[in-house]
Amino acid sequence: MILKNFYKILIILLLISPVFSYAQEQEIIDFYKTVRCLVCDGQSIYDSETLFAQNLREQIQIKYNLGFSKENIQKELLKIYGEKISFEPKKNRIILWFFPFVVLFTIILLNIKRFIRRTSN
Amino acid sequence: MNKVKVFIIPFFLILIIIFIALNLNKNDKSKIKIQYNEIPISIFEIPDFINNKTIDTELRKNPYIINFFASWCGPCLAEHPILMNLKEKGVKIIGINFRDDENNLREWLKNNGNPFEYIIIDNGDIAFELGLIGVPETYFIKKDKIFNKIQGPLFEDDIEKFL
Repeated sequence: MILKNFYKILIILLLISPVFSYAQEQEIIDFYKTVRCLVCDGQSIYDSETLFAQNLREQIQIKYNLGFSKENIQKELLKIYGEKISFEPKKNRIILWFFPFVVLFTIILLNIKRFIRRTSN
Repeated sequence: MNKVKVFIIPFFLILIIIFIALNLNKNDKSKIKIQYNEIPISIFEIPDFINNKTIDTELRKNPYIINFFASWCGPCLAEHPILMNLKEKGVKIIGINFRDDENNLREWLKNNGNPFEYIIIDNGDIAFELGLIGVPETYFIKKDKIFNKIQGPLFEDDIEKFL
């Protein structure tokens, strides 16, 4: 009976294992897409077939298999290659991303005020 | 008055954005510098390709050069005479053979000469740790610290600066 259950669990594990490996593969592909290939124009190391990209993909894969987290690998990449290696914007640039919306919001707000005043008059 | 508010406030906001953007760029410019990473310890632990010896500590006391090369790399062949010249002048060069075939490497050294004191085979680990962009790439080292790095083939001018 115990042996039967053991086989059942084993079969289930074998059946669902590709799902886990697929998820892990997808996670690493998503990470490759955030790493800039420094010898190609605007391509990530996932898109590029240069030796630089190939080597970086292999090294990231090795570190990933050794159990390094994505954050740790990214920190190491930033330490080695500097900010230019990442496609993700710097934190101090976030202000620039939001400023156009602030301007737009201010213009809309001022116009609404004007509209309300006009209608009340 | 309302018109003034509608146009002037956004105008000042845009001015502020431009000011911030310019300042961010200024900071970036000052930050642009060549990345000098530390020399991976594995370089001193891996045995030499030809003599099977690890790098002598005596070599590390004087300035030396680390050169990434490969037998399949054209520009490496172009800079090869400069490296041979340096060897004649007594400059110690550690060659790091990047992702190459060992038989091709032997053939290449036989045909072109060997300017290297030590040759270390690298499958990409050392290259990754040193932040290699491509081959050839040369690092000038003093007291185990990289003080200059040249991406691409070497020229006589680069060597004059080093020596």
